[in-house]
Amino acid sequence: MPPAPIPSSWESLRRLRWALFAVCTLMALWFVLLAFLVIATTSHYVEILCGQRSFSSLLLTNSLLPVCLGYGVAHYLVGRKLLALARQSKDLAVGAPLRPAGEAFSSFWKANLRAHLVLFAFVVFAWAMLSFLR
Amino acid sequence: MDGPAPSPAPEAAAIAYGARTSILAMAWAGLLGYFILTLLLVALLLGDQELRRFVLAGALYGAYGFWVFLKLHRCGRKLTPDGAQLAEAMELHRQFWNHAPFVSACSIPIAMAIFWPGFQGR
Repeated sequence: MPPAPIPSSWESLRRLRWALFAVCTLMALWFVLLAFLVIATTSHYVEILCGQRSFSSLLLTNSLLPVCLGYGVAHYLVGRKLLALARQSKDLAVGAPLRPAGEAFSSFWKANLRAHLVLFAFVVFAWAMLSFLR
Repeated sequence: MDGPAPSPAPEAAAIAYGARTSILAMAWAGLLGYFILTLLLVALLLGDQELRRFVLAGALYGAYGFWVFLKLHRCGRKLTPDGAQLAEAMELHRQFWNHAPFVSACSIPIAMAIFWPGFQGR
């Protein structure tokens, strides 16, 4: 049986859009999970320190709030690039210029790598601080 | 579609080539990340007598994530400046994103399980 023919770049990009929209939704879910994780793991200590149980107060007095916000902003910036790629893929007709989609593709992957590098750098920094300052 | 697929513009191929390093770096990070996550998950399951029967599921999940990120790695390798393999790269890219939502969705309960002691303040 001969191997299935490889679809053109246009066809592959056009068939990609549902997955990209699904990933955008999942990114939002991941953000909610991390926010929950940070608040849930630190709320006990914040409660002792602040002596109050208000959710907004817990959130505002949490020392990890800037990190949480940074994580949210990174998701927003990378998600915007991903949405741009999804939109370019959606409007792509066979034979249409590939340049806008190519630019969106390249731009998304570069932003994605930068965001992950910042995340890894933070994780390594936090791990080092917790290891040496224990 | 009749006849062979039209070849992509060299300019577009060159632009797509700009993402090669980022894709390869992300693919390596994904492969390493899934290896570590699988080790953590299997260690967690092995440590709990009641959950030992799920070890195979954990290992299969890790293998699935590894396979998905291998697709991204192959996609990055096929991105060349002349765009000779651009169609194959884009098809691998599409296949990666078709599986990525499932890998990501499965990661959420696993991350919850790993961090569960932290949630309970222990």
